[in-house]
Amino acid sequence: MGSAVGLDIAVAEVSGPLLQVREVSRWFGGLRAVDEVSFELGSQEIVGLIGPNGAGKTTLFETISGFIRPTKGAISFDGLDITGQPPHRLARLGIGRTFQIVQPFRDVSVLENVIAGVVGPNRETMDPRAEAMAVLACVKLDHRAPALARNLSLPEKKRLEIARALAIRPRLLLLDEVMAGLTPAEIDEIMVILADVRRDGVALLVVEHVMRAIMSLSDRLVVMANGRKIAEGLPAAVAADPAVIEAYLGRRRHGPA
Amino acid sequence: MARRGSGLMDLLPLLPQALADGLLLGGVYAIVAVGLTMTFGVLRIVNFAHGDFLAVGLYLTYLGATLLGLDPYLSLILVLPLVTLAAAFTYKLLVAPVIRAPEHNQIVVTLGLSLILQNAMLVFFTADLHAIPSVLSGQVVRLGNVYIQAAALIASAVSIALCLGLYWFLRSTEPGRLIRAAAQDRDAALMCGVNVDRMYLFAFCIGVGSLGLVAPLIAPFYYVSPSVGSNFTLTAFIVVVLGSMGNFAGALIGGFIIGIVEAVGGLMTGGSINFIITYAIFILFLLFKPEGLLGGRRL
Amino acid sequence: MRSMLLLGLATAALAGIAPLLSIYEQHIFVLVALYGSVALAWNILGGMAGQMSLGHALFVGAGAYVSTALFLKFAISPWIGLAVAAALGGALGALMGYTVFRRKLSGVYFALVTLAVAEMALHVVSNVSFLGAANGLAIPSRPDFANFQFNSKLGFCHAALGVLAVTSVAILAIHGSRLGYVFLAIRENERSAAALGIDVVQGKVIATAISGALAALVGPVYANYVLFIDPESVLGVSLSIDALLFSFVGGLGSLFGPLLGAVVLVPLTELLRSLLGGKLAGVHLIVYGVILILVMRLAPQGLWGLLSASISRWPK
Repeated sequence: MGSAVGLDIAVAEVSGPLLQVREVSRWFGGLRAVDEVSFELGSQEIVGLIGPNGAGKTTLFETISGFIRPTKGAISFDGLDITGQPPHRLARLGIGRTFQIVQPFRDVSVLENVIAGVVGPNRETMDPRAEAMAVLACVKLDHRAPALARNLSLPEKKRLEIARALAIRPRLLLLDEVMAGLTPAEIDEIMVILADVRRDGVALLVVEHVMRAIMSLSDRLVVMANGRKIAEGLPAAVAADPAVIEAYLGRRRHGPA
Repeated sequence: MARRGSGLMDLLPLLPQALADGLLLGGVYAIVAVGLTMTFGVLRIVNFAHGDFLAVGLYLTYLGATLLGLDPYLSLILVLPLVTLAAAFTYKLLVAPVIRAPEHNQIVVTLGLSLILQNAMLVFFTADLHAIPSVLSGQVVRLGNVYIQAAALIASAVSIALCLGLYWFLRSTEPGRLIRAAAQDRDAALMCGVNVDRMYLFAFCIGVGSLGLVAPLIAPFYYVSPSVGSNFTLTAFIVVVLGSMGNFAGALIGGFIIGIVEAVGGLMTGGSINFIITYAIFILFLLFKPEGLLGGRRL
Repeated sequence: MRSMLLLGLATAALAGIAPLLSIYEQHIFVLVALYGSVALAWNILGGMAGQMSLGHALFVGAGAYVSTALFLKFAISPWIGLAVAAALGGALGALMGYTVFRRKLSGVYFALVTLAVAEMALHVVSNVSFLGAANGLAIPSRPDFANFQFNSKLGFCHAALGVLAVTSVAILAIHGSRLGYVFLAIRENERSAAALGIDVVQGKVIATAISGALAALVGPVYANYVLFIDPESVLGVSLSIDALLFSFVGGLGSLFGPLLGAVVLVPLTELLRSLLGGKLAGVHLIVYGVILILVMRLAPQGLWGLLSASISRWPK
């Protein structure tokens, strides 16, 4: 489909992984929400981050996207150390994210929402409006461009959230439970969009609970439980890993933490 | 209390009196701030009309004195419930509808209320200052060279008692715990079956209603005028921030500090300079120690 | 650019109407233009960027006092005073904004700080004899263009219109640029804004600085119109409340709603004041309070919102 989004991502010869998370820990008082987690992500990979509730996935997400500072460890993006950098700096470097609870700018149009993403990182743009429309086309929301964001349905809002994040021209997109609350048909729609996004050269790090989606979408899975990484690898292998099964089933046996 | 400050040595003998005045002024600030600690510190409700309820209480006390010949310490029985009732109305009509709305709604709505209250009092009572007669008016206690108004002493004592009482109430009683739960995590409290709205109403009435207790207590030594409220509102907010938000001990300490600083500052420079010091302290704290004197509480 | 054209036409039209008004109407014209400018400036920070200031009188007063002091003590023309006023207003805004916003404190703290700083300024000026202390500063009447004193009220109509036009141009320029989106994002959702590459603290500081600079422009014009300033009139909390009130009543979310608010409320206030006079001083403030509450509860989009809603309902 070529550059469906017109992203023009220069898929350069990245001599290393795009994202490197090295022994990242985050403590809250005595609680180790994230405990020495390490993994890497290549420039066109889709990595899924899964684990039972309370495993620390969101906290890890927040450290990678700059909203929380890790207590220990380092994160680098395209060779550059980004540990502790604020979110807006990371966005300008090419890390985009969506939020679990979608909150579009309610009182302006869908188009304006995306234009905000186009101009946010303060880079050179010829025609923000046209760029925004192109992004909306990619997520199949262009027909809703003039609608007020508050009038969108939930799946439309989710797609808007993705569009807005794509508008900043990220090389890495962090997706925070974007499938939550969607019907199977809507989930399939999102999967198609994400496949297009990857084809345009954007790497994806996805936190998700909808298993079938993340199993088929991801090249690799990273599994967390109790703040630690307990497994990593191909989806099929991870699904069969006894430690992973224990983490999920064990939770159910002993009830929520 | 305006004294032309001259050399420092000339002022030294006046210091003990200034300190005493400051402590008592601080007691008044503290007792007004205690109520705001409940509504703003604990409940996070922004009420810019807080001080105006005090003014309402003072005018009610004044009416009690002029129409019914009641001493403030007696009219307390009427004023306290009346002000609490006003608080309840205010909560139901104005605050509750905007409690989940963005902050600025509360600011604007209570600002509007403040305008209405202050100017209604201006229209009814004019801007004249009125003194309220009491059996303790002018009664002074003497400690060495220092003269302390007896009524002010009582007010300060009640201030401390109120602080301790509210602290104990929130910590150790069932309704108090429920209020704290409702304030900390509304949704969780709702799921546990707590009637959050009623808890908020209750706490708001305590916080603002306490001014119905304060007003008669300070009436014997404080002039009443329509603008009394605005003087106190901003200072009360400053004291609450200084005292680390929902911390009653902090409000007490903060109030006394501000009182002393203003009194001693007034001694040294005269004029309205004391307000400037209060505001400067506030700004400095926000710059360097926004969590207040006692720290800890997230802003 | 089309909106700039419209603005130019509107300004020209108003400039043309001004000579046709009676003296009293011209007086109202000046007041509406000046108060409207303060409200529009407030709205850049409060409505566009979402940060509520309760002390905007600080900027107006700073502008008024610096220009007047420069004129009275150093014979510097108020035309230069205007530029100095804007610079001072911008600097004060940037300083105050940076102090509070870099701490990532919530909106209430900013509101409290603006209130405290404005009150502080009022008390400081009241005690500085160089600035006239509580008695204020009177400007001798020497009508001359260089002194920013015009021979007739018409001149002040045009001057006030000029300030209004400058502020309006600034608003349109912001709205059409990246800055407009920066303010929008900050107002709506700061976390999302950061995730879109927006430096939220910087954006808020810029908003405060621009808002302060534009509000400060009103000061010198007002001072030379009334030929007298004192702490209460240019630094008082009632001016700060006016800015807020006109913006809310006119329409917080809109660009020019605050002007609409001023157009409605300034003549109303003058009317109430002349009807009730000194006997019932303060009644207009009771009305303000009631209006404020009603607008917040019933029509948060303000007059502008009501108007555009009913216009869109007109059959085409």
